[in-house]
Amino acid sequence: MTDSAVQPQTRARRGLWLNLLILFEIAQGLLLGATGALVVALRNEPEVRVDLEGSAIGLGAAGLFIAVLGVLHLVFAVGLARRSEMVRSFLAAVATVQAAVAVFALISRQDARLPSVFPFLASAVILWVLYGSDRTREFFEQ
Amino acid sequence: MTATDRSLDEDLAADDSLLGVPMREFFRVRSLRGLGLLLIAVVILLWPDRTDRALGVLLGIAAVVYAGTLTVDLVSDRSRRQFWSFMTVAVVSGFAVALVFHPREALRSSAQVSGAALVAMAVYEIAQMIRTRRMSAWASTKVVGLGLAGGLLLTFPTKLITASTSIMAGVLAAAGLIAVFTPGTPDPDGNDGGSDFDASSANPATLLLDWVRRRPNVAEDRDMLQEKLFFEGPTSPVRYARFAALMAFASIIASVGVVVESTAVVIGAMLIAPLMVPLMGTAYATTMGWPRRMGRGAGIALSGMVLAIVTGALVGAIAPRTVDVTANAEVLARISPTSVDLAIAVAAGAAGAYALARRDVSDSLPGVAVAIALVPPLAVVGLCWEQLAWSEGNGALLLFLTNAVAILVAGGATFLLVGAAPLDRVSESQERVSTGIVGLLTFGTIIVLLLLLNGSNLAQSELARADVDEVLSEWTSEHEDYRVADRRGMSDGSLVIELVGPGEPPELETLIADLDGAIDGDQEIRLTWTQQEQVIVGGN
Repeated sequence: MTDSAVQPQTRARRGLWLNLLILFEIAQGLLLGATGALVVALRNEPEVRVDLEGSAIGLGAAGLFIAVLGVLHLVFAVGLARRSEMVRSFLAAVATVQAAVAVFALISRQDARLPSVFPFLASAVILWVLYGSDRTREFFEQ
Repeated sequence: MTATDRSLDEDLAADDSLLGVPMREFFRVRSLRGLGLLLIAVVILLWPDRTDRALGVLLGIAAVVYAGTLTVDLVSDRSRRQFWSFMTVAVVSGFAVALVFHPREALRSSAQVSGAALVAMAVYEIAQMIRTRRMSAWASTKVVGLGLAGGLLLTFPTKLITASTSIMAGVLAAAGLIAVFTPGTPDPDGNDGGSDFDASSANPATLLLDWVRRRPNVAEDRDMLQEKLFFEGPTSPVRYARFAALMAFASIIASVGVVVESTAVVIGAMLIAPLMVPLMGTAYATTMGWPRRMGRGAGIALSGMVLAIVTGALVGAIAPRTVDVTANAEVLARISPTSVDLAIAVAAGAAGAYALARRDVSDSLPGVAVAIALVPPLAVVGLCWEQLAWSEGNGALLLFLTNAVAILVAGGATFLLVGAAPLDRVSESQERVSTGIVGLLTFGTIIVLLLLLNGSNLAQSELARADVDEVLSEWTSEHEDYRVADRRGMSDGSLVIELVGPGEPPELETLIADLDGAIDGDQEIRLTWTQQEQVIVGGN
């Protein structure tokens, strides 16, 4: 029997960057959920319908969609916190697509160059947090 | 040998040959691949500005396929999911889609991004030099080369894409020709050029290098060549004096020839001028990795250059006849060089090096001197600068630099090809040779770019004039009472058109609109008309 077998295994803790990403996902989820709920609640208000240029049914559907997105972000946050490899891969895929679109805009649209830099950098940071950081790798490999 | 090869051998008689190569050799896979490369090169060279779009799309499709395989890797193999793998997929996918849908913009942006990367590398090299407090010739040349290439790519991305496409086509054509005309030919010693060399699977670059290595050494006497090119030994003072005297005579003759507009006199100066020797010496020293000889050759050439310019200016100052730089045919022929001049200079430079390396063709050197005139452009520089005609003088200086760079590059390459500079020697002094070549190529790139810019401006104005002529021709065919009395370009770039007819030209608005559509946005057209009075006398 070796020493390691008798010692209790210490679980790797989430790194600072991953915690920030989870917090970001939670904030985004709450914000989107609240926005969606607000749009659904105020869908019959004439002023809101004029401002958003939509019908009550259309606004209701849009609000619901936004709220679902918000819930999804919360699910992603929980998944990341619980070491879900599927959530990690899904978020990486979304960030990759976002970075590819930014590269496309950077290259082919001169008027969209500067606005494309931020999404590209943001995607790169997300990808680094998910797959570049050693702490994250240790955390997910347990 | 495959079954197909055997049947081909049976079908084609052994004595059928083209340019010394048996016909059956043309049907080998390697030869067919070479023919394919040659065909692509011809298409690119014929339509360099049109093929960039097609090349962009092809490159885009290849990048899409590559991005697809990377994505499959990421999905199927969890161990490959790394930060850089995701970033590569993102960048390659975005780039690929942009290349397919917007090939020109994507290529231009890529050139600019590459330029920015080169500049960043130059800055990093400078930082390294400051940190380590070490500055070698190679590092300095690399910094200058990277910085200039990066700056040029950032400033003129489209022109450089066209230029690099053409250069790539040249390399492809060379590789294709070698593959077609040297299929599996054993070298004169009877071996196949090294047992580890597999010709059938080699890439064009390896094929080219292998071909250069196999070249027989036709430089009859390397010592004789060095004696011709370098002013060394006990006779060097006499040779320096002879060089200075001949340069002075050639400069005076060329300057006077330009002043009196005599082509024959100018050609005489070309034949006397000794400037090609130090330039060829510099080219030879560069390929051999001899920095001291390289510096000495460049110094002699530079002093000759200064002498010719000063002589030109002096002759211009004391000549009884003023040189009209806007009308003198000898000046006009030398102030607006294009890439055509570069092509001539490259061919002449290669011919010059070949003639110097081989004793049996040295008779052709005077012809080379005429084709690659060095002193007359310098005399024109002096004459123009003396009159403060800076733009014209700079144009002539560009022509001289074009010829000089062509001698250095084509001459060096020819010395290598004919065996005067053995490839093994080049490999031994790799760093020194690299320093020289990078410096030379950087300088050459700037010259090529300037020539392309000048050439494209000329081509654009010629195209605009042809369009204007077409508009005028259509208009006069519809209005037969009117004719174009004059159509001339002015020195400020504007175009003057004079119409003659019975009164104000009809449909003037339409004519103006058509002319406006034919010209470049910045160009100006001055349209005037003269009323023609007609009196008919007699007739009955």
